[in-house]
Amino acid sequence: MNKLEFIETLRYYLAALPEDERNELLRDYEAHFIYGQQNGKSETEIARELGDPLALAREAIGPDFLPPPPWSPSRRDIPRFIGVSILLFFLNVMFAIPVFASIWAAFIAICAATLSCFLAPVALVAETVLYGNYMPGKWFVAIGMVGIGMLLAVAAKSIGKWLVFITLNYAKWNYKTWRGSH
Amino acid sequence: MDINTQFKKGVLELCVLVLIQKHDRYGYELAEAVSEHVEVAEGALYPLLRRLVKDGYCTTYLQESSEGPPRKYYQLTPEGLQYSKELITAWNAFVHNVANLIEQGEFPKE
Repeated sequence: MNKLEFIETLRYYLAALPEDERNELLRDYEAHFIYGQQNGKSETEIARELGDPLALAREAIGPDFLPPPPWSPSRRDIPRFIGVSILLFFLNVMFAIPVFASIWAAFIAICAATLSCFLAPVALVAETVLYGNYMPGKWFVAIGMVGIGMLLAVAAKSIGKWLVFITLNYAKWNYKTWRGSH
Repeated sequence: MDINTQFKKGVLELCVLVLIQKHDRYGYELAEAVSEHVEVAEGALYPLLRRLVKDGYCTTYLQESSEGPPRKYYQLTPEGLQYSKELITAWNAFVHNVANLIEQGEFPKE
């Protein structure tokens, strides 16, 4: 074990100590290595004299020392990963994306309808100014359309919230399923 | 872990206190001085020194060194001196008693 390995292993086992205490202790060990090398010892030799980092960490932390779990590289189940990727791909292409696209399209249509209802009085004013064939009855229609627009706006708002919610959740579910439990 | 290691760990504190009592020392110097007499995992010194400082038996000060990083010297406090005296008394009594016990035991002479 060389100096770097010794210090890093010890740092890992000392995770339970507050950061400043840990760093101070590690500085003591680093200094020890430097003095040892000045006295003509090799890093390996010094590390051996210092002892086992795990035992030292136990010494430093005291009776509550719990060794952190050894490093485990995140394992991936490749066949599962491939299978899930293919299934999710077809689920999305054949079903989820068309369904979501049509629901969102319907929602956008509702929004457009709402907007045009609100714009009805503006359109009436424009028509009067540009073409001049004004009829009082059209005002009733325009005001009625604003009313319909208000109702639609309320509906669009709750539909929009719901759509965002299910779309996000579906996306999260996709990601989690794809990544697996790791 | 052999029995000897446990013994050594127990007396390491005493050894360190006695060494610092003579004059202030820094970590590496202490490690060398201890291992001259007792074979021990030198790394155990630093957690021990940290504990001694925490308990108020030692204080530290840094001193620049012409070669290498500044040295962290350990100095005994009056409480530390008192504690060290108590430990030495207890140690001597303990060794004496154990020696007596062994003496009285009927072991076949080698």
